Amino acid sequence: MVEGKNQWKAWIYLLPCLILLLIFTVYPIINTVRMAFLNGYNGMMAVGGEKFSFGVKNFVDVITYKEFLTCLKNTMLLCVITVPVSTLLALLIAVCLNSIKPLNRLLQTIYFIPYVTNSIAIGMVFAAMFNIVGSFFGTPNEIVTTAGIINNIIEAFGGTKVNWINAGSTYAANMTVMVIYIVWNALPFKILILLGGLQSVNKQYYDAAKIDGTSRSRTFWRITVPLLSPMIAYVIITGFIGGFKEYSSIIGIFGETLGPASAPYSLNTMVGYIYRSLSLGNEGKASAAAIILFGIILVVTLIQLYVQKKRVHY
Amino acid sequence: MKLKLEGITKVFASRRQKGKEVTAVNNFTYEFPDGQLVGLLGPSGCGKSTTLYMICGLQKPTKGKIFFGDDDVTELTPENRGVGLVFQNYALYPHMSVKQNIMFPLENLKGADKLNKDEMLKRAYDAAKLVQIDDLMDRKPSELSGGQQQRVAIARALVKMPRVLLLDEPLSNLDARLRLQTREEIKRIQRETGITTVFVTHDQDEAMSISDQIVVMKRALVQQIGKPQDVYDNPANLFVAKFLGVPPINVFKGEVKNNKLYIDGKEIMPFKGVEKSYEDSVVTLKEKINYFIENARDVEKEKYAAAAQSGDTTGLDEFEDSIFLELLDQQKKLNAAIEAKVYNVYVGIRPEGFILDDNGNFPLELDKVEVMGRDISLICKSPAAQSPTVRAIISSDFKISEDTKEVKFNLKPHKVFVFNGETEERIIG
Ligand SMILES: Nc1ncnc2c1ncn2[C@@H]1O[C@H](COP(=O)(O)OP(=O)(O)O)[C@@H](O)[C@H]1O
Ligand SMILES: [Mg+2]
Repeated sequence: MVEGKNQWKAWIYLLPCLILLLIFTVYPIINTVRMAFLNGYNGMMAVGGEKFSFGVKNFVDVITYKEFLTCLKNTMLLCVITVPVSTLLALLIAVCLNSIKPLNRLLQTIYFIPYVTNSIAIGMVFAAMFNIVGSFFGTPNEIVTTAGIINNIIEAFGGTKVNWINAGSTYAANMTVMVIYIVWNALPFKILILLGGLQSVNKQYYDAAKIDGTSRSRTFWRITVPLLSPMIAYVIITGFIGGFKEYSSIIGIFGETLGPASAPYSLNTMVGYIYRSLSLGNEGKASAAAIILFGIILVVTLIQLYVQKKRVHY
Repeated sequence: MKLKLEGITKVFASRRQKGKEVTAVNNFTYEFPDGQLVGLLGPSGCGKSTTLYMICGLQKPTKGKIFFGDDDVTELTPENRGVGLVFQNYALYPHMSVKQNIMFPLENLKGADKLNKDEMLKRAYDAAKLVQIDDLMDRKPSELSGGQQQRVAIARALVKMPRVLLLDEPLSNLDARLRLQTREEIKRIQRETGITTVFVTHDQDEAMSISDQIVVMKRALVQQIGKPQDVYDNPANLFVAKFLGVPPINVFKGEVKNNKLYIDGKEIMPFKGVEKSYEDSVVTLKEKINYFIENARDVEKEKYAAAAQSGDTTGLDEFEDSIFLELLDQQKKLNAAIEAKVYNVYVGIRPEGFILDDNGNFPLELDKVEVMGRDISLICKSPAAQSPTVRAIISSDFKISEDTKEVKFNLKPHKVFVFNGETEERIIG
């Protein structure tokens, strides 16, 4: 502990950091809360001298607004599907990677590439892969000028083309692309964490299991998974938080329309909604939505921490 | 169940240098007697763990066969051998309770051996009672002391009623007092169960105190096998003599001339048969060299054979071929010694082999006196000794005054061992 008369020194060391935190973190948080509870708050009008009354109108507006509900549904759906799928896949890949001796390093690097690539750029590549350009899809007069690699592969195996993301595509098709993209994008980080966990598991546990004649699947479920459970829990929690903040992936694939041209904004997410409200000058609504998002993440994380306490071992 | 090893050898690809090989265990042959506790003893890196892993099937011998009773188990996987292994750091599953840990091997049983829940519980409690941890069954390993974890590990190894129990340095993670206590415990459990047990340790005291038989290893090779007391009383070579015994044996450089043993130029005792022993050593050394060449990799055989033939060692690597170079060096020196009729020897004298006697023929410079209740240690110095000090233990009935400069001893002949100065093999006079 710093002695009393020298405390001011400690504060001076902390000062630059504190000032930055105050300006860029504390003040915005307080201001967000303030704006959320000023009914119909609008930045331009506030500059013009307009006074706003305190209340929960912003919240009521937000949760009764159909677009917000779409965003909420999209976000929830993406989280609920992509987190378990990517976690399981990452676990599988990590276990495989861990047991491959030759090319181990190279494979680890390859699996890590998505992590260091810009997600908008990846989204555009995905868009190109799932693309299809032409008209009259699904009718006898269909004209296709170019098709992305996915549709070419589907046709090569005798299937029919799917309109994944272009005008007229279905919500299910759009969602499928989103899920594939997000899962693929989420894998490297999860694999990295789980692989690290696997490599730190003492090999003797496996030797002991072998001597006791434990089958491979039992070894996996009764030894590997429990020993990895702290890492698995970490990956799931961060996965959910990341999922709730999903936005750039939608931009990457659909561009600013946030959905196929025929149904703009149909794939918008919570964060997307917040951005859009801001650009429309609805700071009050944006703040309210941000607080709702914060509340959801908080509750989900608390539930997970509670479960973790009961289920995650040692 | 007796356990037989027939010339098992394990060669690893070297971790240090690409393309090179390391022999971890070299031609180990021994029949572990039924129901006895055998201590596998040797310094770190001599191949004890590797031997154990080959017995339990985690590693496959490069050469040789392993028998449990009359069954050849060399090709069997670990779970089909019926062994229990206790790891050095126990390897208890940290997420399972003590009970789950002990029951885990039973839950794996398949087919006719399958047990129902009640039988499993009973077996688990029986094993736990044997090691006296039945009141800790619901704890997690992290809530146990080192000694308790050790017992859990033993219970887990015993619960399937293995044919052979293997313990890899089971006491090395315990503090000194617990180690003493636990080794007695292991001995008791082994006696009660009558399971053939192999106990690996680098601590000679541990091995001596609880083993029925000990196997001393050095650099992948078995040096000597026998009852602990017999090995202590009759070491086969200098290494074994030095490795067994606390305080350690005192080693002097000496010489045998005209059937008399000299240390530091002083005649100590009559000693016959050194010439014959040197002649014999030439033969055994030749055999060793031939064995080494025979068992070398094909690509290296010729190189070794040529070096052995010509004595020219320029093609050999100082580090990788050190064992072979040492053999050749010994051979050269041995022949030179026989030629010159100069028989340099090592003389090992156990600390308890000294008799204080004013007319003794073995004087030593006295450095200090340590009184330890029952007996006294005389810490002496000698230019011929290999270590800076020589320790003689005598009864505390003797009174030594502080300013004594020199003490004279007679030696107990059965506590004095003479070793060939080149091969370090024992010479029986
Ligand atoms: N998997 C392995 N690969 C390469 N060398 C090994 C391997 N396991 C053991 N060794 C080598 O074999 C020798 C004997 O090892 P080990 O049996 O563990 O010795 P100990 O248990 O007596 O200390 C050592 O030199 C060690 O480096
Ligand atoms: Mg070892």
